[in-house]
Amino acid sequence: GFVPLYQTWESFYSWYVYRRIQDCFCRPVSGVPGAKMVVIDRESNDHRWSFQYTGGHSTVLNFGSYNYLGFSQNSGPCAEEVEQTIKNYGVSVCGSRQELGYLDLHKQMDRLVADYLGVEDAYTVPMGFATNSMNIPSLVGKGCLILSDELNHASLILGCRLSGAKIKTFKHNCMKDLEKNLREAIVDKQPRTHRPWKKILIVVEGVYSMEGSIVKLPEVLRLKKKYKAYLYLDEAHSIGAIGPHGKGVVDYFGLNPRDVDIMMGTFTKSFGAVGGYIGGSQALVNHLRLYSHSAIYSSSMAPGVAQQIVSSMNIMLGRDGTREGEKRIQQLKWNTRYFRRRLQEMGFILYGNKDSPVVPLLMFMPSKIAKFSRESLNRGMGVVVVGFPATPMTKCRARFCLSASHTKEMLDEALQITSDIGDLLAIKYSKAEPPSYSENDVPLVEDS
Amino acid sequence: MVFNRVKNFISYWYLQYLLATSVYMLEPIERRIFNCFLIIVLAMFMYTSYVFLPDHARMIVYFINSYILQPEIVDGV
Repeated sequence: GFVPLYQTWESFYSWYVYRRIQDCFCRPVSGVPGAKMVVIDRESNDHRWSFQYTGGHSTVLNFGSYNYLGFSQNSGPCAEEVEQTIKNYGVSVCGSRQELGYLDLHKQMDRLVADYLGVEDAYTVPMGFATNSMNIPSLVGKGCLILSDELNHASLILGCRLSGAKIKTFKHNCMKDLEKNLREAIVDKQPRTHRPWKKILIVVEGVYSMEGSIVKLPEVLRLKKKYKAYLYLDEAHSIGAIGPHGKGVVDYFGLNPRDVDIMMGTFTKSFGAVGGYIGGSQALVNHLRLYSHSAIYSSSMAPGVAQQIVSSMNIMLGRDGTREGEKRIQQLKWNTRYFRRRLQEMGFILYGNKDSPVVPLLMFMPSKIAKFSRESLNRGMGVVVVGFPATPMTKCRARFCLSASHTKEMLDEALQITSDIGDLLAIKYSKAEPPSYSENDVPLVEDS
Repeated sequence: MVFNRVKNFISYWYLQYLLATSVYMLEPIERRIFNCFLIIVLAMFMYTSYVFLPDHARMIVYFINSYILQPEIVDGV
């Protein structure tokens, strides 16, 4: 027959649960979402089927944007260089990478990304989602096996499905399950013909955005070397945010970046730009430049965006002569430790590693996340709350995204608001011991 | 002063009830219907237990006592 037009569970959920708390999601904002953002007020007269603007704006603390290093600004050295570049090159390249769309700016950007990561060469794509979904099909195909973590992002899942390879998931961050799957794959081989797999690709993320957990990279590398598989590491949330020099999860564990076969990441979260990159050996990047979907069919990165990436990476590497990059990294680490320690002492249940700047606060019920979101907007703090399709139905949470541009006063205000709402909603469920880490062992860089 | 404290107490617990049962997300008319339904069910429960519970409890105590004083012979002879 035909594909049903009306999906029972999804429609029920979206009409009877999501629609009723829809004023907590997709709020319109105006202006630059830096440390504070301007939310446009709206109200609903027909139980949230439609919204009208009241005409007011509220400036709230921004804990919802991915702005880990604080590059989301419309003034400063990055913005001036971007303005100059737009005057020189124009607004768009109007061509794909393989015909007319390859400027000297792109060459400089690729070189800079490769230097930043410590790999041989890198290849950039103008859209972060497409970096995963359009490049995995050019790396693996039918006859290959993909072992991906069960909580991978939608772009990775889409890329794996488009490639035509067989996909097996392993439990989140569980190395025993991964080893068991690897051993079974090598022994049982392809399902019907029992020929050996052409390639086995392990797909993991650096920092998982809904849990805040960091992948156990030393263990994954040990398994990869032992069973001769390839590793695809998606560092969308960890590049720039984790590690003593801000170079991602490989830097955090102190490992060699040449061990990871394919290092992928995005510029959206830490560098204030758009797009993604894939870094690795010269042979890999040469192959991608010829066979990737985005090199042939999509127009390449706009010059303004490329210049933003170049400027922000120069700041992070320290090549502009100041200590601004180091200051931002240390400020982010201090903020992370301080915020997590204070929230755990108050008694909230948090997920994730003590060093990850993504802080999910569990509330377990859709009604509580609605109340949390409305109360915090009234009191001046804007957070993102997540419910069903992104998380399991019974594990709804609020997610704080910390930034290097948050000062201690902003964090204290946010903590006070969270504590008040926590008392009101009775979500201080935790019975764990107080945390043993603190922010005192993170040295801050003073302004000279 | 006491009236304020009572009001705060009731409004806190009413909010906890609304959140825990997810009635918080319903429209006002649905909330009224659900609350009326719940009150009717609770009233019937109270009435039934007021009428039948004392006799039922007395019967249970009688049967337990009869088992203690004269144990039942299970295997015939």
